[in-house]
Order: sequence, then C-alpha cells, then structure tokens
Amino acid sequence: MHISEGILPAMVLVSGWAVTVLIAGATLRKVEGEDLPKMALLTSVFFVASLIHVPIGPVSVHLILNGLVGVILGYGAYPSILLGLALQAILFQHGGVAVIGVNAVIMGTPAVLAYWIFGLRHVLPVRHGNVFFGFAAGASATVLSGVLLSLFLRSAGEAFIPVAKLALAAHIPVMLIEGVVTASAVSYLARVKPEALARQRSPIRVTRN
Amino acid sequence: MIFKGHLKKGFISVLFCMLVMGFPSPARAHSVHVSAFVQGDTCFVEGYFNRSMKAQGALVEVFDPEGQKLLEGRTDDHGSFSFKIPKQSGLRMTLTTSMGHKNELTLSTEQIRAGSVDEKHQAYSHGKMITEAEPQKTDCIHPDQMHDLLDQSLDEKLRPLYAMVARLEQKDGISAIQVIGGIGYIAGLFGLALYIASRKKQG
Repeated sequence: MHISEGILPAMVLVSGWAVTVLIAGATLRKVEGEDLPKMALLTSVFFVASLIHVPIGPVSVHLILNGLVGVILGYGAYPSILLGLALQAILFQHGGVAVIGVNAVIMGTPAVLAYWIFGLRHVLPVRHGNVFFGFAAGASATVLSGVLLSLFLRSAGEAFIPVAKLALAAHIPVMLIEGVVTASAVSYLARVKPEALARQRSPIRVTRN
Repeated sequence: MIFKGHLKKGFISVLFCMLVMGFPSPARAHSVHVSAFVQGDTCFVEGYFNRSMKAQGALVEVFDPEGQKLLEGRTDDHGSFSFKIPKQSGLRMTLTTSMGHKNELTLSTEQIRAGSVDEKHQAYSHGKMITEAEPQKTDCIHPDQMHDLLDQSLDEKLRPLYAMVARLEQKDGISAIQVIGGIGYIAGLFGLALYIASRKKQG
C-alpha cells in the first residue's frame, strides 16, 4: 500500500504531510503516558508486518495490520503508524521519505476508522461481538487503505476505477487475513487482558450490562 | 495531564531528527526493484519485487542523461524487457508498476561500453552477420567468424549470470540487521518518550 517517490505531484506530497501533521498532532493529544509501551509494541508489529508478503499475481502485496493497530491503540495508532512508516522508508526504502505524509494518511486514517468500528460492539448487540467487530475492523481498514491509495494515484493521472478495482482485488486475501488476525487477537485479548484494548472514549460509548 | 505537551514536542522532535538523518541517504523507492545489463548492442532490463516475484507488465521508460525520453515499453511475463541501445551515452531507466510502485536505475556510459563489443568488431559483424554468412567451402573457419560464434553462444549462456550479477549489484534485500535495528529504534524512541513522560509526572 506504499506509494513510491516520484509518482505523485509535489502539491499532493505537501498536502499529505500537512494532513498527517494535523492528524498526528490531534491524535497525540489523546495518548496517555501509560499507553507508550503498548504503542512501542504495536509500532514494531506494524513495522515488521510489511515484510510478510502475500504472493498474488503481478502485484506486490503484504500485510498492513493497520486495523489491528487501530483496535488496540485507538487514536494512538496514527502517530504509531507514522513512526513505523518513517522507519520503513529509511531502513527498507519502502515508499520514500517525501511520501511518508501521504502513506500515513493511506494507512493511518483506516486505523482510526477500525477503532471506531470496533467501538460499535458497545452499541450494537451482536453475538460474539469481539470476533465480529474485530474482523470488520481489520478487513475494512484494508479496504479503506485501498480506496485512499487509488484516490491518491488519481492525482498522479491514473484512472480511479481501474486502479481501485486492481488494488481492492489484489487485497482481498490480505483483507481476509487481516480480518482473521485482528478478530483472533482481539477476542483473545478481550478474554485474557481486556484492558489492553483501546478504551472507547468516543461519544458512541454506551454502558452495556 | 501536564506531560502531554512535552510528550508531543518530544515525539515531533524525534521524528524530525530521524527525517533529517534519513534525507542524505539515497531515498530509493518502494520494494519494486530494477536491474539491467548490457550485452552487445542490447540492454536487458528486469523488474522484480523479490527473488521469486517479477514485475509483469510494468512500464519501462528510458531517458538519456539530458532527461529526454528515448523509448518506452512494458515488461513481459518474466518481468524482462530488452531494447537496442539507441545511443552510446548513459541511460536512465524508470520502471513503474500499477498501484504506485516505481524505481529507477542509471547505467553509465562506461557500463554500456563494457558490455558492448568493440566498435571495430561491431562493424565487422554488422557488415557480415554470421547467420547470413554463406557456407564456406573450406573446412577452416575464419578467426573473425570464430570470434563471433563464441561471442554469440557465450552471450546466451551467460545471460542468466549477467542478470544475477545485475540484481546483486542492486543490494535491495532487507537484512535481519535492518529489521532488528528498526525494532531497536522503536524501543529506544518509546523508552525515551516514557522517560520524559515519567519525569514530567514526577516533577
């Protein structure tokens, strides 16, 4: 899901950075000191996940795990993913430094979305809510990343619909894997260490007895 | 909490330092890689994601040192594309795949010359191609023909080897050290942030 350097116009790169700085600043306000070790762990997970390649046809597809990061870290996922991307760009040459802003938008905002989706388990009474919403969060984060990727590539002159179709089709297996990984990780954590999951501090929180 | 502001400042300054440190390193693009080598008057380009996955149908564009586009084409099912070198200057090639992957490679004039046969010899083989040469009545082969035959068969035999060397030159693999180093960075940076956070909390 990384966009390389030299593809997007400079204006888009700059706006990507601007949006990322804004979101990272806003989300960092929500980070508490006690969340930091958890953030470190999940940043490492995100950092390494991109090395797990899923061989599908002519495109390079790898795990993203931004949904999982979002569900466990909540808003802290955005700065966490930003740091992970910066390290991937510097150490692995994935993406490139100038594109970190755009790539953070592509992978970070779906993480926050995953957090919100996972929060719905408090609102909608579904059996095995953790598994259901965990899967939904992991899978939809991948889908949104694909859509955002296609939108950005559109600014580089590529037609939106074909690229989006390709990006989504190539990521269907990744989407399923991410959904399953997120659902199993989350349901395990909910049983063993529920406080490890991101606290839902959004207005959608309702008490469920 | 009081330390949140400091936490943010710390995070931003750490990120800024990393970017400044990261900039001087050649920021090559994402995990699509391109390698190329020259044999005779032909340049062979290969695009690949990793050892087993080739970049199929990727757009290859070739530019001269002045940045003027000389030609373009697409890689085949094996991720390969070859073209006759239009002029003996350095060449810059970019390889673009769908979904925003791009990388580039520059071949210097020396690299191109080293791969091609010398001009005198080239003139000979252009004038009289071996394949078109009439069967000689005598049993002995002309030394020049011998040279050409050897060249041709060696070129074909050595092509996979050339491709391998060209790939190795790229040094694109990710080593365990980079991964461990990255995790070390993360641990260190968050450790630092925790330290700052705890100090602010105490003070």
